[in-house]
Amino acid sequence: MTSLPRPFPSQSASPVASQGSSAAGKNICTIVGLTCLLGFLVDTVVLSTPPAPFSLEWRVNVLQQIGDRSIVLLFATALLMYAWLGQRQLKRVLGFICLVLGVAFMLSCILVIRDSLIFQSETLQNISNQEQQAQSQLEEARGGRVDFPESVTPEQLQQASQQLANQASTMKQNARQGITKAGVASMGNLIAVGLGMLGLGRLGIKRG
Amino acid sequence: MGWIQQIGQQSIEWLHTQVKTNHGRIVLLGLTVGLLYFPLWIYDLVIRSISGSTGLVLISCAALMGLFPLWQKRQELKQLTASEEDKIIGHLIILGSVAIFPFFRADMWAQALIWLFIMAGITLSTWGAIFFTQYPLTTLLIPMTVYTRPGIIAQGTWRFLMPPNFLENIMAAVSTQALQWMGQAATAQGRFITMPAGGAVEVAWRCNGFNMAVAMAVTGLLLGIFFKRTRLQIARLMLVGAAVGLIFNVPRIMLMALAHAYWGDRWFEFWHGSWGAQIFVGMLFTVYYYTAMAMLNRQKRSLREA
Repeated sequence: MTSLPRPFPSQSASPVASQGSSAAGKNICTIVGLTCLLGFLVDTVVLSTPPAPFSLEWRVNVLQQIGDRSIVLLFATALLMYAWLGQRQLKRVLGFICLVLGVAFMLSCILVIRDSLIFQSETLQNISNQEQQAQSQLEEARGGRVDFPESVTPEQLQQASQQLANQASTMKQNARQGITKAGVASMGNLIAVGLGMLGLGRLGIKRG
Repeated sequence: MGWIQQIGQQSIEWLHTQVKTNHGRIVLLGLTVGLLYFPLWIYDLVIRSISGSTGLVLISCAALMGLFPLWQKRQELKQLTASEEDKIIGHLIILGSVAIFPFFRADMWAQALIWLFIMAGITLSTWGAIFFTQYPLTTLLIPMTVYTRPGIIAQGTWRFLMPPNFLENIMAAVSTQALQWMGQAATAQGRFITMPAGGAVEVAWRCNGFNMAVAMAVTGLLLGIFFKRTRLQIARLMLVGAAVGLIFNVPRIMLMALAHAYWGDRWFEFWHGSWGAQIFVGMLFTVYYYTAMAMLNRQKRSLREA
């Protein structure tokens, strides 16, 4: 075995080279981490302008987008944390930021649930209102108050009314499913990333 | 009356020691939110249990079974201390939850969730993250008690995954079949049961037996934990509980249809209202009790033989 030539020098054999590559690795992590962070911040700022925190649609939209992109933020902080492992002060500050963001992400879930519930009931109400309006128009037509061509029979009107009801019911079902899906997805993202951030922050603020 | 005085004195002493440290102050702040939520919680539980909900019984059982291990190991619990990181995380969670609490005064579920966060924060900052692995039973059961309608999450998941009126249609079809066996000329159309003698009854969401099935499954879980069964045995107890809950719903719907058709509105209201619900819940629990006890006895015997 000893006579075989080694294709590559092992890492322990040259501590200088290993130190150099580790420093380069940390630099790469800093660069990629800062890039991801910047990308996330730009996205967040662009998506949330113009800010309207009291508007339901704005909140639903922004929280959903942030939830979708939050994995990038987690990745960025993980890279930065690795790059700054040697610098105690910086690591601790980053750790605290992670903890605050993690708790904020977890608590924002409550807001996501409430907003999706309100959004859902508003959308369903809208569909119901529109259906009612159309039905009352049909009712008027059946009462003979609106002039129709001779070819339209009462049976056709009855059929139209039935179709309208079916359509509204399908629309409601779709709206309910769609909004619930979006809400559950962004909630899951926020919880997962929030837990991840808490874990990272816990590592960051650990002394020694 | 001496013990009341003693407890009062002890609590005042405890308050005095809490106020002196930052940790104690933050914990007290969190407990204040709990105090604000408590009347709402107990009121809803009592009101709902009067109308035939099993919530009060199940939640008190879960709370007692969750807290009992803590009482048993109270000396060990005193030895547990949180690390600095856990303390900081716990305090952040409590402070954040207290800060958002005023904005969610209108929604009971949100307050329940905030209270759950606060309890997690208090636990984390007092005993550390190791608490959650050392007391898995408490960690599992206490979150089930914060909201008065634990079935609502199961309900939401079910409605999200299943086609609309899935269980209602099945219930209507099965009940109609059973009515036909009794010689009634009933017909089912979707979730409506029509009797020739008078009108149709609708199997609505509340009558489809789902809530009962969930309640029975939770009872099975609690029984299994109480008698220290294995996971597979607990799963079996839960499954049988859910099945008994669903099967029991069929005679209930049949009775409702018969009451509507023959006995008039007063009897329909009686069986549909809180009296009928209480009677059915009582019968259901009795039947499930004997089924579960038979299963538990058999499991014990097979354990002894093995």
